[in-house]
Amino acid sequence: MGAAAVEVEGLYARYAASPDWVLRGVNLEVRRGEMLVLMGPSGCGKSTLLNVMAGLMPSIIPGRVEGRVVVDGVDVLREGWRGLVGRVGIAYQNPEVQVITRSVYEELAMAPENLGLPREEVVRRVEWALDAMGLRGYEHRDPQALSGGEKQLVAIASVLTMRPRILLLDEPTSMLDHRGTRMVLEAIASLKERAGLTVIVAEHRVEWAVEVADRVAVMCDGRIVLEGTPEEVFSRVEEVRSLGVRPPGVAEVAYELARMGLETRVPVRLGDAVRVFRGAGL
Amino acid sequence: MLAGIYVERDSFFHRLDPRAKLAWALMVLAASMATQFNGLRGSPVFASVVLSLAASGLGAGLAALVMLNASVFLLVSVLMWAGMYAAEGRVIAQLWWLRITDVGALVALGKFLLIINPVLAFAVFFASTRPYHVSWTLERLGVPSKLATAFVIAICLLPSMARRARDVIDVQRARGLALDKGGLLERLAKYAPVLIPLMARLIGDVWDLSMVLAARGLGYARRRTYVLEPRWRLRDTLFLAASLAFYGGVAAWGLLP
Repeated sequence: MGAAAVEVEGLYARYAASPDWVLRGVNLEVRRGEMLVLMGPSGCGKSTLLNVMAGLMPSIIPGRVEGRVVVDGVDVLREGWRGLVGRVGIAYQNPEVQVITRSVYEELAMAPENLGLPREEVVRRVEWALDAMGLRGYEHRDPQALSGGEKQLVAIASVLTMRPRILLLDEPTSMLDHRGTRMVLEAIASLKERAGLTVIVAEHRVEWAVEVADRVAVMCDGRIVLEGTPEEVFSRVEEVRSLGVRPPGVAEVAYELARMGLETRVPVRLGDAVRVFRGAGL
Repeated sequence: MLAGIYVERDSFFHRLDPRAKLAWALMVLAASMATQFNGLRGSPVFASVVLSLAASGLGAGLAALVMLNASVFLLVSVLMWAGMYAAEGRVIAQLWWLRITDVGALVALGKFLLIINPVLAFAVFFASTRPYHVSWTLERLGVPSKLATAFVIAICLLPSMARRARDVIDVQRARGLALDKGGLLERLAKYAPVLIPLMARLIGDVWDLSMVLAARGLGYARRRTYVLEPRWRLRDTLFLAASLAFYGGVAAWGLLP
């Protein structure tokens, strides 16, 4: 991990049609190669924050944005969406609207083609993305005929062909079944390891988040109210619950045992919980 | 999302270069324009597009459906144009107040074919050409990249809109909306609970789509790269030459007095 990939200072944002600020003074720093999981109840501003970091708001999504946002060295509010092309990629929650073409190959080629890159480079990037997302063999398949999880993998791969340094994912599993969710979460975790990307993902699956995230940020009412490693955040069980986020099951069990008088620290991962509970004589 | 009207087949038309197919569709249009005042002379063009529907692998069923729907349009055309040409030529039929003359009937048929032939030809073009290659063809013709993509997306959205409309109608029917009961005005009024949610869903879809396209750099470069470019082959040249001879001949015949 190195210098900051994303720096956000005093960020306020609101949509053209919304009377109040959706983001109210967000401060955040994400280091290169880090995976940050954004959590928080619906409507807390996670998607808005991602859209601002992607340069889409206010360049494309009408609204007002104040503060300082520097992504991969680019002043987002000054340079807008164009300044971030090829630096940042964003994928959304609904896989149905993210597959556009009639073959997986066309889908993956679309972004680098739009950048006007030479054909050889487009082909190289498509081949890389097919391998990175485990889509080898899907090249000639119609994306419309794939499962939800497969469609989401194609959508993420389509963004990866822009070779972004920072990948933003807005609740990529919220519309998927269990199998699709597992498929996508495994792919994201392996991406971070293999491609060395900085990944910022808004995600509700807390058990997954504690396993793969370097840091977790919990948002509430347009602000980041808790931030730190998964252990730092989720060991504060009562506080996390009050913010509308469910802590990991093992943390809740340990917290309840501690309240009943058992001397134990609060683990957040299953593996840690086994060790902690054995140590406590359970 | 954008399935479009493209139908995946391995037909003669699917194998043609999209430029050859587009030129063919434009020749159908030109020949139909040249024969619009004499439907009899335009009928070989009609026969050729029906043949093309079959050669594009879309099936006889679809062709029959199109012909059935087209017959209603033909009737309307006859009623309209026969009335306008009632004073010219020999009377061949009298329907109450309407005198149908031979000239009126030929013009009616010609005007009908002027609409239906290009519609069928472009249906063959879009159904046998991948949206990707439609966009490529338009760019080759000098259309700006962003506009070419926007056009293709608009075409592709049509079936998606129809599917959305069906979904909303089904949902509203399940809630007790009886769209097929009552007088004309009453029925029209009943479509309000269909149109409003339909518009809301379509606006939502288009909004999401625009975000996805922006995230994929649409419009970033002046010229888009295409890695899957079609190749012009001998069969394209032969097809174009045969089309030129056939439709050129029909058009010349149509322009004769």
